Amino acid sequence: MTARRRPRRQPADAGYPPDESVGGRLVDARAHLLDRQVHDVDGVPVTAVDDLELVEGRAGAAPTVAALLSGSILNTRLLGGHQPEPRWGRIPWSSVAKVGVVIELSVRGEDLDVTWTERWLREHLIGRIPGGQHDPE
Amino acid sequence: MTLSELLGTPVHDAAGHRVGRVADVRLVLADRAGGEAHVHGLLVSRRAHTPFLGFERSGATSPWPVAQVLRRLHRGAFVVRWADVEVRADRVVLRAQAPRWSADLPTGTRREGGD
Repeated sequence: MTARRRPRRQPADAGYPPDESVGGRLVDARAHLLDRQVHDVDGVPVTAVDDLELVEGRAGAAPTVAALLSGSILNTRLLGGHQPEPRWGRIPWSSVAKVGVVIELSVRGEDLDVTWTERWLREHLIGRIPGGQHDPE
Repeated sequence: MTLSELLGTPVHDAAGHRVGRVADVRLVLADRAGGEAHVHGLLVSRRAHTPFLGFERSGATSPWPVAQVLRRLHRGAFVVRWADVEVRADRVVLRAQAPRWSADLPTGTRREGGD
């Protein structure tokens, strides 16, 4: 009787060759961008990255990142589906200065659409509370 | 198109066999601030919903038990360049004879993202 040999398990990368064709910096979107905190040019936390907007490249080229997207994604992450486009807050990729442990912007967070709820609450609610017009002492 | 629409999408080869799901999207960042970032390719794994935690791609080996478990979960993962795929409504199809590349990030780009 011949013993049945189990198929040999593949190594982690199955022996695929490394892709050295790209000279720029490579990052993986999910690992290095999603859920990263976004800081503005003054180092103030603005939001976190919930998704990326990709647009088709010119003349059949690969898609490019158009914007960082931020929004209320708890429901879609728990229940599935996708966030409706009008509900996303967009930060144009051209405003990104550096991608690292946090994503640093080259603009002030106050000037971004993604912070409008914070500004609205400050002006219409917090600012009307006695003592709400100045920094805490 | 958003990133989340690509993640988890089934990937089939040219013969119609399912080879995995889109686990991540590999980007090339411009060196200058405000420069363009474009898609280089798709990272395909049989377990798209299990995070890599950086182990699969950086070659990190510690803590050893975690590294072993994650490398086993994602064994056979590979990268395919964007030019070699066709994105359809419900699946991604690889071009015939599309080269498959190691999921490891090339030397010099590792750990810069804060893995």
